[in-house]
Amino acid sequence: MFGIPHQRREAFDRAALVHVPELLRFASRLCGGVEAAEDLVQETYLQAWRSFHRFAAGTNCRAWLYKILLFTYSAQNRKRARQPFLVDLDAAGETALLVDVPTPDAFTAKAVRVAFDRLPERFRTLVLLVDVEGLTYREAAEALDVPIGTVMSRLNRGRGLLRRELARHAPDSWTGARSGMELSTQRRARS
Amino acid sequence: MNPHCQHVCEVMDSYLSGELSVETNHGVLRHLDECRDCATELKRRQRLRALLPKALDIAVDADRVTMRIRRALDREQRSWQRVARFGGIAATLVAAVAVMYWAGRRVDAAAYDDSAEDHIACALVYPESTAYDRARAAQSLVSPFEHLADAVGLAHGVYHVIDAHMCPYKGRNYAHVVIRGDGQTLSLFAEGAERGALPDTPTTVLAGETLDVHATMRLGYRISAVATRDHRLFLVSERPTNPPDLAQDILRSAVRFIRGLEK
Repeated sequence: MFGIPHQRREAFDRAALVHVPELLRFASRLCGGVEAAEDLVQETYLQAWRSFHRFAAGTNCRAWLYKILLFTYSAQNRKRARQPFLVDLDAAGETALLVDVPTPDAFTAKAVRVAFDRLPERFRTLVLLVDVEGLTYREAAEALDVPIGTVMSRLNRGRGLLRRELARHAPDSWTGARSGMELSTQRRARS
Repeated sequence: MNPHCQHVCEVMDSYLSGELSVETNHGVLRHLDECRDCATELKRRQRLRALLPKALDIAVDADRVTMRIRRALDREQRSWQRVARFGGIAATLVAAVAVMYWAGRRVDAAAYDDSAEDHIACALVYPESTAYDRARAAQSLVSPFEHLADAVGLAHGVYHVIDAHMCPYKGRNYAHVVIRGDGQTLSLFAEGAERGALPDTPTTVLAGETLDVHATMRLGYRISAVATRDHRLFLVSERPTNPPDLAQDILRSAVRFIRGLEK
């Protein structure tokens, strides 16, 4: 489609570079530092450029870039860790399903950050994609290469875990935690 | 908590994300009108949702990084354009130097890395719903690889070929067959042997064939590679196939096809 090199480059710049700010923010939160994030985003764009011949114009460039970024990040981590990358979607966060903790009445930005940092990475990534960067469930499913149902259930767990962590550190959260325990008991009684 | 409240709490976040169906959305709105507890919980979750980006805010210099990426892309592009700009004698000279360079090399040191990297950059970015399009594959594949996907077989148990194309990557020109199934994506790459022999790694003999399979790991991916007289084949996977023989079957079919070309 973009046969002439400069046309191909112009098309790439037009479609992809507009997403640098949000990818950079996302990568900074993912990596926990700006310097590593800048390297990750640059590598993402180089990878995207190398495979741009396969990108179909009119499809979702944003989700495509997130997908490359997440794979690049995973590949770098695996390289560092020298061990296979394990994708276990269901092992963690089971308690978030059992205990539906209401949101505390009062919380600070710092408490939110602490609670977020305590989430397992798979949930943190998805909460970042959808609740912070505003990707739709479909875009997040594309970016993570998982079915949309997996996105929904994992998001549900991630948000539940976030509320639980927030309630755990909020001083007036006893009422909420008790409600959660009651709900858990009710569910167990039904099953 | 009554069942209505429980249901509304379960879908409340999707409601905030605007991801509910119209019917469910109306149901939630009706319930919120009547239930003060759920309306309060909604307000708290709205506040949490609004506070989240602010709480996680990190100052980034997007303009500077955009410029940095542009420069990196320019360098990448120029390195290929320089080669393309030379014609006639210059191109012949470059080709001659390249042939001498590669011919002088005992091994193709980047063979495994490149196949793993291209797998990540290319095969893993296919949408989940991609289905094999024979016409598109026929248009993309070039001689002598036009029939590679058919020779490999479009279906192997739960694994299916979803695309086949020529894939230029770091100066290579792979015929790339993308196979998906059982929650993972496989890449079969075939290329001419211009870049030298495969790195010398421990080998295993493929059952029933006289070929050696070079098995190694790169970037967390398993790579099985076979060198024929004039070609190299790489099968990249995330984990062993189920059944394990399936990966060997795919590779064996491809090797037979390539050997047929070399007769």
